[in-house]
Amino acid sequence: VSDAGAPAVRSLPLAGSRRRERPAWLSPGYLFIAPALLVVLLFFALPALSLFYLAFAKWRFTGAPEWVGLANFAELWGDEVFWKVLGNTVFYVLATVPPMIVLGLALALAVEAMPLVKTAMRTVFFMPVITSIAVASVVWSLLYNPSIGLINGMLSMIGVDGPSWMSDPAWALTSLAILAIWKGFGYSMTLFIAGLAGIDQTLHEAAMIDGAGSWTRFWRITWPLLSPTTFFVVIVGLLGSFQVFASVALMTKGGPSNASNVLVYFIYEEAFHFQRYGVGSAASLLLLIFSAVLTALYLRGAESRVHYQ
Amino acid sequence: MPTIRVLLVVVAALAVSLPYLWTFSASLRPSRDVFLATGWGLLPPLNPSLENYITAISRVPMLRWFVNSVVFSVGELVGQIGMGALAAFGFVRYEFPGRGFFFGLILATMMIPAVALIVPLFLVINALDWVDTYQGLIIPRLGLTVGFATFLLRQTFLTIPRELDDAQAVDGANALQRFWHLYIPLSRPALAAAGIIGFVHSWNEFTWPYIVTFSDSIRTLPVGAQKFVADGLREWGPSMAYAVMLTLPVVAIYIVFQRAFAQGFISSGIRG
Repeated sequence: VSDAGAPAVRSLPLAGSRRRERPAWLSPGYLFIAPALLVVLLFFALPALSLFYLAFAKWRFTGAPEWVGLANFAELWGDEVFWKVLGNTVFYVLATVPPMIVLGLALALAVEAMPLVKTAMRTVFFMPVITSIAVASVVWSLLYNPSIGLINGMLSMIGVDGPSWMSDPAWALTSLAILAIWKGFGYSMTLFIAGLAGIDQTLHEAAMIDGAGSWTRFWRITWPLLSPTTFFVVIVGLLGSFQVFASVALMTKGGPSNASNVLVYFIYEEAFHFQRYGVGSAASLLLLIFSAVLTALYLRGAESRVHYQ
Repeated sequence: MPTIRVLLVVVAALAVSLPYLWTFSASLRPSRDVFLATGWGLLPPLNPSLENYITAISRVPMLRWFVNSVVFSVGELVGQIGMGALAAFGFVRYEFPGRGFFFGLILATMMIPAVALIVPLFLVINALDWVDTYQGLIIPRLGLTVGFATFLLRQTFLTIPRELDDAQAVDGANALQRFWHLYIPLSRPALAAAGIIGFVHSWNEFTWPYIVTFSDSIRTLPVGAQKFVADGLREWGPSMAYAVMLTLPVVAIYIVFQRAFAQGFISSGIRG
């Protein structure tokens, strides 16, 4: 970046005369934001607004949508599969978010204390994050294969008879959760490493002089000062887990018998398999509202917590 | 304590790297090799062959999907950076009625999950008769991704001294010239970060192409992967070859641009 000194001096006498006589609504600024604004209006705002109509309408791809009030929501309420899907989604979120946080934080602390391998390990742990979920799904469905997969192969070496993973109703959702943890913990670890770097080391030194052990220092210094990072990791993790779709579509198709069916896959099937756009939209609206609440919580939390010290 | 620490890192490193190792050596293993399920499957094969790669390429329209993936990812990259940089310049350099509202609207795209909008978005694409076309694949997704580029580049443009801009204006440079000769060159690192992230996210993207494309002539590589999951049991060799071919470009980009990468991925976090 070049030095800004010389041109700055030159522009000084003109600082007041810069503004041109042109009405504000003719500002060229509109021209510059127009392309981005157009795609946002057409492919974000319009779908978001129409969701509020479609969720209360019946429509089967032809003709005009017909207003049906709360009928779509009533249908969801009475649908056993929908309740199962909600339960599965909550299970999946609880099975993925806490492990990603614990593992991410533990590895961040461990890697920080190992300066020689720190960079190499960060690279390794971030690899699954940048690997396409499509690739991960192909590879893991083979890893899980009961007869030729590496996982059961290794389990049998220590005398354990592994389950049939994706095709076992009791294990299908857990199989997807394990894949998600494998793919995602490097992301939370990277966030925690950044958070740890922001903690003033003199606090630790002072506590050590006062005789605090590493366990005390973690709970009294690291954990509280890391809370903005933890908060961010939790929200991003929740949002991500609630939206799981690709691994379900590729690996289990929600099965066997809806054992791994989750909210977004349910929406996808309602709309694109059964052409029930109204019911799909109603479920989408619930997801939208829920995510908006999470995001609002995050933004409020960020406002009050970023200035922690 | 140090022992637990080392153990944890070693176990995690093995858990992450073994699937890559297994995939890579399985992709080079001739299909009659039976050591897949045992620890031996992790070792490099005794007689490596590209048989699986040839099978994978001939079984599916791999070349076409590759070209589609490139078209999609480059289209997304150019669209995000181009529209994002123009919008960022507009927001930073001008004051106009509604500026705050429009900026808020563009930022809102980063806060609402795209999957919640997929049903109505598909209906918009259908109304435009864009289903299963390149424009339907590329342009609508920009509405959901341009927010991040706009946000990132606005932050960068704000750090460029206003005096530099004024000086060029006095010298007779119009707004477009200043945008192109001043703001763009001074923002290269941010442009590179936004570009790399945009490209890799698009390259890996599964959901949108899966929803909006049906025919082999438009589909991208990640969507094509479903053919290799379904046939997994009978033909694991080609599946592994496909996984390697899909991953290699991203790994290459990651290793070359490592620093820009992690940072950019983190700041794009909320969109997942």
